[in-house]
Amino acid sequence: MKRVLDFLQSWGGLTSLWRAFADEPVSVRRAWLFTLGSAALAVFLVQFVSGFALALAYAPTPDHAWESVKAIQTRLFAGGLVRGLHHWGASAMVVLAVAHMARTFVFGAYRRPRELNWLVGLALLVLVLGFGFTGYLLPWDQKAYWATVVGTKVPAALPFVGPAASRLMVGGPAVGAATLTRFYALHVVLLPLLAFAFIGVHLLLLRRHSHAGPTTEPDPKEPFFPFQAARDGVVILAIILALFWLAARHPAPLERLADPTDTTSVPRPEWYFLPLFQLLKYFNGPLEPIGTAVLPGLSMLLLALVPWLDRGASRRPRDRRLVLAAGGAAAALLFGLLTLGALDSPKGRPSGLDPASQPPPDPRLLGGLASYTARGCESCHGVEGVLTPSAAAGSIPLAARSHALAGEPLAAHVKEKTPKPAAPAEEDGENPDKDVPSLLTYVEAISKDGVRLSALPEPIRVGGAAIDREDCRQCHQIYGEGGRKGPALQHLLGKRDKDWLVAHFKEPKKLVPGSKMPPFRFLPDAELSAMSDYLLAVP
Amino acid sequence: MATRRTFLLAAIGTALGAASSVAGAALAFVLGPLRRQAPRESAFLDLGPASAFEALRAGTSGPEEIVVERTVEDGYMTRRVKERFAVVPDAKAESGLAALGTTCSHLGCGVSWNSARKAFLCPCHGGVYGPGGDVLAGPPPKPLTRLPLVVSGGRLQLDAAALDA
Repeated sequence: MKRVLDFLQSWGGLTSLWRAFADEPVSVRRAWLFTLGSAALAVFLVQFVSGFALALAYAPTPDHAWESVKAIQTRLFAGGLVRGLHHWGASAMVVLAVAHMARTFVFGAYRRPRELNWLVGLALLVLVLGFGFTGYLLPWDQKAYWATVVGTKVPAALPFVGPAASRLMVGGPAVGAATLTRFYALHVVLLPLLAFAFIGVHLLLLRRHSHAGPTTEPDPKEPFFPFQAARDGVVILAIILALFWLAARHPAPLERLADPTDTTSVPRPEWYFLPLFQLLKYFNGPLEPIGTAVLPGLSMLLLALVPWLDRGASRRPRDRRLVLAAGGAAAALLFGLLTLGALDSPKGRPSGLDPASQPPPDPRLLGGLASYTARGCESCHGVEGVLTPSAAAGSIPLAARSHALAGEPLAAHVKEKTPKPAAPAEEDGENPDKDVPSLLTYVEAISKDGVRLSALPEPIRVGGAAIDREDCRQCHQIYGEGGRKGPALQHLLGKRDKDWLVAHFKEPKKLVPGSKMPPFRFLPDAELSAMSDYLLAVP
Repeated sequence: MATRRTFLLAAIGTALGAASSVAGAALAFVLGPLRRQAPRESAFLDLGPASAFEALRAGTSGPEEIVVERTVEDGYMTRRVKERFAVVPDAKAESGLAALGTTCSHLGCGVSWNSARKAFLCPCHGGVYGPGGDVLAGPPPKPLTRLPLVVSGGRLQLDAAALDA
């Protein structure tokens, strides 16, 4: 052992380097509060490692970004876990950086000679927010798109440099391909390099001046290793366990593919930008730059000047009441804005539809699913074509068949072997097998394409099936397919609400004078409500 | 006085200058988007038969939303992008119609027509625009962009050059 240590020492002074690091005396009092910086550093490393892994499968182009993120999230091994860690790590990073800064503020630890390290820390906070802003464009979903549209327009209102800064961020005619590569390069090349450099300086300065310690005497010390290192370890362990738990239980969201014409999305930024988001609402017209630039800029400047504004002899909080009150007021304001922004969250989302979910499947597939159930196909072919262990002998699964199912013989098989589904009251005399084409489409989808629909929210399933059965497409286009006698059924969210749609189904003429649409009073209310949910979910 | 030291300093300075010229080249590349783009030649986008907008022109139905697709140069690629407009009656235009851009003049979110409130609402920061695109409430500094629509051969058309202006 001794020889190994001697060798390492002779090799590059490694032993004495370690001793200098490990034996650094650190304050015993308030020691747990001094773990926040190490915790932030640990989460930064989590972000670096998980981010590197994600970069292996991510493609920064508008054609492939969303798809590659979806593949990471759903198909690639451990992809959802790694992306979850990165997603929650980003929030943890902001929380820890702010908490670390708040502790420094309350303890007055930025006092001379540590002013420079306060500034370096502030720069690191800006970098963390920069990581957040450049990072959440990358999935290229609705949230990504709109947050970036707003974020890149924020500097445009600045005098002189504003428009140029905005154009440089966007890089093209609108947020698109050029923006994506720019943000990607910043997120994975420039920002990490800067972050490592600033963290290095932050740590060097910390070792030079050591912790400021508690604000009052006595200030007993003990070596960093193993005492403080163990405390750091406990906190970091707890945070990492929490990140794993969050990643496993609350997967990172992925909204619909970015689409500038999709009005069903209500753009909201990540929570840590909500205060700024909310602030932007209060400054109208020519006053806009006050919200976008003046106030955020002034607050950063004020934060940077804190070490020079608070210069008394004592670091004790009770001797710095004014400073702490100002800081508390600023924190309360920030938190208030955050709460207001969060309260102003989207209303009128279709019930039961996860905001992260994809557009509802084509009504024909849902009609097919309903018919599959109604005709009792499940008894021989299993739920959605997948047999359960308890299936009757001679059952034939439909899922993942190697050969395509033939159209006409299959239709004959369906008409012959299965009971007709019961039609709602007013449809007597209609072709009892009119559901067969949808059923065949559905069977083909589950057997060839591996489509699974039964996990969808019930209103979407019921509503889509009813829309298919009532053949709304005779007059309306849905997903670009159908007649043109009535308006296309898209972009309804925000324009119509559920009550309106249900009332309109029952008596179209009452709401749209001159409408040629027949009333659908004979359908049960639950079905009309589900149809409305379905239509509101169509982008 | 040229000493050995000034010579060496000059040599170091030259090397540093040469090295930073690489950064200069990279910087020029980064700043590329600041260069003024040549204005696009006018290209008209077809919005369908003009007769389909009769009710709108007569003022008996509300603004009608349309989505047009066009090709743009975007960084390293040429791609198709979709844009959404609201066609509204416009007494001053020869066609009797105008297209309003749906991009909020505040920070660029997409506004949409709310038939209950008879206004275009922005989902982000609360901007409200009247049926003609004028600001009724909220932060927007300017009305919605108004683009000319022309009728040509019975078809309603939008001048795409106006989109880039």
